[in-house]
Amino acid sequence: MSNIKVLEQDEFLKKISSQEIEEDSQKVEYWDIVWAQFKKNKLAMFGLYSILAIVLIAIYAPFISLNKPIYVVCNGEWDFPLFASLFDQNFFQNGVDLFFNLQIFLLPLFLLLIFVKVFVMMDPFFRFFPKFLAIYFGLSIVGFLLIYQGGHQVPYKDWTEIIQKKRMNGQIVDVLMPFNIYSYRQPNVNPGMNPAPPNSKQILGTDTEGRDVFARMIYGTRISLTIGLIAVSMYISIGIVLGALAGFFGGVTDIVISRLIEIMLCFPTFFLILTLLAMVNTRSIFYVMIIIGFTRWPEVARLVRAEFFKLKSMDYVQAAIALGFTKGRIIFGHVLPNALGPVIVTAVFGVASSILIESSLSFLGLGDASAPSWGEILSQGRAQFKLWLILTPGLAIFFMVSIFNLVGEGLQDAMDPKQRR
Amino acid sequence: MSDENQPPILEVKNLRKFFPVYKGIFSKHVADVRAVDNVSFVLNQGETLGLVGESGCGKTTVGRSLSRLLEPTSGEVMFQGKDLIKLSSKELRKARRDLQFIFQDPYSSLNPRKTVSDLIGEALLFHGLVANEEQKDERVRELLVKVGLSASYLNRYPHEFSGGQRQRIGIARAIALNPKLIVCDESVSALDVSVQAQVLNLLMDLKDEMGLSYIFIAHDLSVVKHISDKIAVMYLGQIVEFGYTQDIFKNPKHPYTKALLSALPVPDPTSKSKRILLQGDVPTPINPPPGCYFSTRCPEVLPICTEIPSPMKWVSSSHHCKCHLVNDRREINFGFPDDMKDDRRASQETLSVSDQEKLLKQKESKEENG
Repeated sequence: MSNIKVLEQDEFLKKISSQEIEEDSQKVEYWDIVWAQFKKNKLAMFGLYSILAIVLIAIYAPFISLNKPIYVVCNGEWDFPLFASLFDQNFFQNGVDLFFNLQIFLLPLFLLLIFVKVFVMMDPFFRFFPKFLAIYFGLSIVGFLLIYQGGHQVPYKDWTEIIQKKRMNGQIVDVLMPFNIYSYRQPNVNPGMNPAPPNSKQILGTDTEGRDVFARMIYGTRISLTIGLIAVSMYISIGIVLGALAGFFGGVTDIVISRLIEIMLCFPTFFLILTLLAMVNTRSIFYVMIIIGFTRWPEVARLVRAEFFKLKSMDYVQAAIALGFTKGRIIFGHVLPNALGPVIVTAVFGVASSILIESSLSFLGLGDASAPSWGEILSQGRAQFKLWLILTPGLAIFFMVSIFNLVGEGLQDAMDPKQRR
Repeated sequence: MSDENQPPILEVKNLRKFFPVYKGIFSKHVADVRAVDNVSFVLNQGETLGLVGESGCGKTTVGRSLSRLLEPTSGEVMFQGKDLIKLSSKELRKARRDLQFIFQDPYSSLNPRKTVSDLIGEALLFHGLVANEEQKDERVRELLVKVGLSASYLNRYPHEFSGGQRQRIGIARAIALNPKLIVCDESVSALDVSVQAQVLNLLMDLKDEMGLSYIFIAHDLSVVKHISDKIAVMYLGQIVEFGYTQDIFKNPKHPYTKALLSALPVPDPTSKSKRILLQGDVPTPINPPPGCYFSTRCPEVLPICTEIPSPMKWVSSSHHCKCHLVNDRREINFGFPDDMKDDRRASQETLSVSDQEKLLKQKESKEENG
């Protein structure tokens, strides 16, 4: 009938359609589009650059503030006390510090590899980056565990004294010190007057125990970032798995998980965390992370569940079932990648709120006293009512939370197809 | 074409899919949406079965229930000698390799995050049909050429293609595992007419080349006529007429089929065909009418139609129709072939003697009046 006439033109049409796209056009990926959109948002870009800067500060903190010289030259003899102590567990007692000290060496390697991949091998950035990042974190964690288990310890040497002695002996000593010459746990530099207000030597003053506030602020970035990263990745993982199960299988699984989500959402998260933390005897920064991680997943689970409900009925999921794939493969290989967008946005916002929660806990005295956390400094400032102990960490927390929120909001807008121009 | 000596590739018996309706705070089961109600048919190796009917009549549900993309309520789906309904999930995964789908919407049927190579080739790797990535890419290139696309499209993403090209990718994915049967669920209705023709021809070429069988679900009768060997007309979850394409088009028996065919446009401005306009709407499948489901809209309705459902009657050995008005010529002309005795097609249900008399009377009186 009507089709038969059209069928006669088939050969002709085939020729046209084969000419349609013959040469390989420029490949555009989803994340390329998001990135192009994100770049237009100046505030979000500012946030992103600030985050990168803070990551760099956190990783290279020893070069900014430490009471050991980067190098000492005496009688043609070279010494590198700073490098020697990077993995010294007698000096850097917190695991967090060891982890970040490891990054001092790994990060340049990582950046070099990315540079080679993008500019020499011309691979599209977003296609290999997630895999790269996963490998990088895997390597970091393995390296960290090796170092941590190695338990390398060296007796403490006070290099300031050693150098002074050598100079008194008339030796010529060439020294390069970090920008700020104090470590964050070095007590009683100026005995008798603690806390000391900002002065020419200690630009942000000292806290109640005479420790340099600037050093503690710098090392505090490490704590904040770790809290954000670990707590968020914990609750994101829990949320994704539970949400995916509920959304994909529906039925009884969904009912059970949904009720669990609702029960968890009934508790005000902060007070739940407070209660749980009060029950833990050991004050460690890791307990704080774990407790945040275990209490904040319902939000993510609900989001992922909704996404899965939506995506489950898409034909490509039906096609995957028809192709005989296992359920695990369909959930994690086919549906999840398409559901991740909104989760990433929540994760970025989550980093900000986790940092805020940790600061609040430290402020209330439930944090880790040995870690140089910003909230801890703030809490001291409140007790003593010293302005430099309140303003510095207060503004830092404000800044940190703001930049993560700016990036999160920028990402949200960039992923919204309605905003695309 | 069909080979009658071979056992049928697919035999569907009394397939039902009811969607339960719950109400109230205790989710009391109050009713069922009878999406597919007692559907039976047989498909031979190398045949194409066209499944036609208006929107919501359960065509898609039949297709999806076959390979348990939707879990059917009851019934039997004998596919290559195995009852798919009874298979464990592991056996089902294996059986599904031979039963593939081509979907309606070429935009939602391809995962936007996967390259063409992964879309088509992932299943090859998963089922161990190829050993590594290189072999996979090699095979995907072959498949792309086979469906009329350039082999250089390997690393592209779906959004870079037009609708027709996407549908070809969908076809390549379906034939990648060398299936025996493909369910085409409105596979060409989202495409414009010229592309439709290309895709249809591609499907027919592939059928001859690979010995495929199709279940072709469509609402466009001219498309179905072009591609199908047999046609099943569905109304409200039931097959009302089943037979060879030429029989159904030349000699439609069911009033619903007649109405459908009369709506088909004829490319001849001088021809004046009488159009049968159906009154009213399709009744709700939650509460279908008693008797014949079509009785509420049937232009030739008899009083008995609204009371007693009609059994499937034989117009000829290969043409069946579910209508009281049709004479069942099974006993008269064909008898009961021995091998058909437990075939559900030769539906065991017949009218009781009193009902048959009633029907005869009503028919006579109608003839006298009209």
